[in-house]
Amino acid sequence: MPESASFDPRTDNPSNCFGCAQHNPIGLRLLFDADGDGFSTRFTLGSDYESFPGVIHGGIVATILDETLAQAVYRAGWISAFTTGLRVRYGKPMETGVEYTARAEITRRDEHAVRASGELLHGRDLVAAADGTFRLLTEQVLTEQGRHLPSRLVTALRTANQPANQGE
Amino acid sequence: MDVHEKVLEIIAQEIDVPVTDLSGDQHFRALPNVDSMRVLQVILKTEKAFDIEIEDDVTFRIQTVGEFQKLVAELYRQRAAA
Repeated sequence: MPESASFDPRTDNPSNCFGCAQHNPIGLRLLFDADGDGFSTRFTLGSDYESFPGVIHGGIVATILDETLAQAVYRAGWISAFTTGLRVRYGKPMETGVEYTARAEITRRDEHAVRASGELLHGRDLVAAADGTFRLLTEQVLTEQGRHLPSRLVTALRTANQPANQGE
Repeated sequence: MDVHEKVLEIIAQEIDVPVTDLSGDQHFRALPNVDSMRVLQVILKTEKAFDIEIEDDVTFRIQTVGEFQKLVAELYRQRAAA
């Protein structure tokens, strides 16, 4: 098992999310803050995430936007969710060593699913945009369909859905 | 809402030209200040304004402002009829 797949012994936090866990050595370690009606993160990535020289891999760009949309969905109601659809559109290359902002907000929701939209910006320049659909993993969903998921995952989702864990 | 006029307004605002400078027979790529980023902005703003989804291949398929207006009008009509 690689180091990145272990729990953080300092915080005992079971999350090892590639997008947001702060102790994952190969993760993006994104930090999010409230931003108007949504949430945003500012970050700079290096050559570990390149495709062409000096350019961040398009799959990493998609990951950043997926994470940002998911954070907006989660933080809006403190209910975990799975991405069920993601559409990414690219406007210009994202460069290594340059600070970017990713921002997302919810556009539609019902009791089962949430739609969110987000943008990756360099200053005011649009680098990429994404729309995603997220299936809410409510207690009812976990009770009815949790048997199809690994028990460890269900436990983690239930923990994340508890108000006491807000902000993690 | 006049779809054709609204599309022109969105394009004009994004590339920072007077709407009166735009016409249906102009080629997108020949418009001033147009690059891939602004084309994406135009598409996103148009989708939001009309609550429609524009396919990715539009940027290759559509040549002129008029073709884009026609596409948006058709998508808007389909959405209204749904």
